[in-house]
Amino acid sequence: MSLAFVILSAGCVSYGVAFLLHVLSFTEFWKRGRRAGSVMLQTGFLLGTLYFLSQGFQSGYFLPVVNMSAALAFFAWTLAFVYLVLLGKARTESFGLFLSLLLCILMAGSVASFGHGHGIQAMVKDHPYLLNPTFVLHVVSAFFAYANFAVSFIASILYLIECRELKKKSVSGFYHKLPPLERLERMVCLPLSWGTPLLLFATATGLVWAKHAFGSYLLWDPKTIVTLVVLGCYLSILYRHWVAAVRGKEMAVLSLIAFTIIVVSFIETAFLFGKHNFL
Amino acid sequence: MGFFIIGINHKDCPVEVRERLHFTSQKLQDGLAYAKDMAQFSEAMILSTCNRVEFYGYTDSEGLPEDGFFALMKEIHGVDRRDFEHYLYRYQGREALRHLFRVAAGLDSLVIGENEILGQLREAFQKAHSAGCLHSLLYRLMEKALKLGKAARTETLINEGAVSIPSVAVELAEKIFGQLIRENVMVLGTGEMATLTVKNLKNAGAAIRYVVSHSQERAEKLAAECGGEWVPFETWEKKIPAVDIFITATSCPYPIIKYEQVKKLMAERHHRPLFLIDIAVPRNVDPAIHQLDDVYLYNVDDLKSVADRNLKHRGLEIAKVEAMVEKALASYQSWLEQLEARPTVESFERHLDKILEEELGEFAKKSGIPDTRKDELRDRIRAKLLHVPLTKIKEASQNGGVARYLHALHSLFDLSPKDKDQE
Repeated sequence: MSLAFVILSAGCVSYGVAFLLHVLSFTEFWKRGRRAGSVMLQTGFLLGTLYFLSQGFQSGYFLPVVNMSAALAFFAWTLAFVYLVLLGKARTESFGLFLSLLLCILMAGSVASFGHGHGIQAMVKDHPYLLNPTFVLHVVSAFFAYANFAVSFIASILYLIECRELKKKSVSGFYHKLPPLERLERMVCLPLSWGTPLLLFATATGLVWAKHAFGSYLLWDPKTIVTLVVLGCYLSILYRHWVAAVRGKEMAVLSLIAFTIIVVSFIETAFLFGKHNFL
Repeated sequence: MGFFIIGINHKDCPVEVRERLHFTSQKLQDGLAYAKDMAQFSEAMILSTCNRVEFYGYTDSEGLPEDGFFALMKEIHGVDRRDFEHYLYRYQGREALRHLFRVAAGLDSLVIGENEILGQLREAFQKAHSAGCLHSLLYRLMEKALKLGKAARTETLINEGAVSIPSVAVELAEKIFGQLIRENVMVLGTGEMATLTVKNLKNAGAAIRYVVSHSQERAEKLAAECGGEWVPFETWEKKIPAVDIFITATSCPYPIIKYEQVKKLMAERHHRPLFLIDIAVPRNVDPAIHQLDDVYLYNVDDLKSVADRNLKHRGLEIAKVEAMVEKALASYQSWLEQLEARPTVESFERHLDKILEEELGEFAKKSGIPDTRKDELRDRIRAKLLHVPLTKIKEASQNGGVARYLHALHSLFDLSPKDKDQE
């Protein structure tokens, strides 16, 4: 059993414990569970950081997309980064509950697929153009963009749940646990305004790298096309938010739809041909 | 006799009597000064709120010091005991302790779990302490009660959810807008409920911008109290785009805020949320407006049903808080019993020391062992002999059985009156 696997598993367990503690707090079995859950989330994030540092030192490269395990772990890490670091002040119990579950699932997938697929050394040997710094920038910015969109997506779900509760005029236990609509709206919009420029940057670096690696700016594979569609969606959402000053339920619904397109694009990447289905 | 409580509260005593017995700040000072000088009370504290007037005290006398209490009330309020005696409740010992803990936890309040009582209890405690009416027993008891009150509110849901119409309105506004710092409020009508809601919103941080009324005088009175400006009834529609929270409470027999009007308004507001509170009967706002996105319309029945559900939720927490009260009660009684046991235990220790000193001293003299060795031997025997009885007494203090152990110690070792005198 390698050290990397142990760290990865410990990260997965931390997120799992964080989820359980959030559940205990949410169901009022242990009111301090939220704080303990938050500490476990941070522990999971630190273990993730340690995992990537150890991987980087071991191989000499930073390529978190050479196999499914690394990609899932890196996505979990970026999600935790956006929530814990960028949205630190806006953290809420209900959000922590949803996010810790998602992180636990991602890390469980990463642990389960550990050791399958290509190793970094083999991948670099077969595809030396992956070492191009533009590619690393492309990957990192794309992952951070998607992490932001995922956070916005979770906030949208919570926003719509709370909206529904307020419209129904019913007071459930869940309603009391939700943060104010205004704060959820910020958690919908802020990640969108960070994620969209990052996706734009990821697309631009992807085009430059494609020219360098394959001699053409546009590869015209399904993932590239869907990414352009997604980018268009998010740009138009941001336009409506900033220029047309749209907010509230409409923003939540738009964020939800756009992220659904992202999920669909990932599913088709896994099954269709193209340069992006290397995982 | 120990700890006792004499008081009246909202359950049995009518407001006319309560207001006659209410302690203003000055009366409270006078009352505490009077109680301090009375030999019947070794410690005293007075809690006076709109729902209760309670006298907490410790006394060394055999019976309940009622005469002292009536004398105090006569002196401070000029009220004869016959005017309120039949509304009084009296607790002593364990029941008094339980009552105090229930008051602190909000279980004895008109609205279960309300937070105000804890602040009022803390204030009463501070005032009694400043007046020099508290010593170790009541001081420790009040600390325990305040700690319990805080724990009940942080560890259970006993105070969760607003339970009055104005506070439900504020809670909903905070659920929509978060902390109320920029939100503008307009109120149509100056009735009692509207005024209360406006005051609650202002206290929560909202900005009262417009008070709309046919009566300029009443509107300006409310505006002077809560801020904002008077707007004549004919022109209020022009001001509505700037408003986030809109309260309607007029006697108009038909809806004055229409669906199309708000639909157009929401487009202009770019769907910035709008909270409409319709307290009027008949309703002033077209109910269909609630279907519009980002518009939240609550009428008086909606607010009341939210308050009722919150109250029901609080009710589900009562058992948990009662358990906390019993735990605190046992803990305080244990401390009290250990305190009461101390003189007897000290007497027993002295008795033991005397025997050890005599016997070991003689033994040391005969055998020639040095003093250091003798002292070491004495301490070890003493520790071993005392360990079991002291542990048993500590354990018994947790279930109220200390007295029989103390009695046994006195009987078995014939702890002399001289020892008692020394105590």
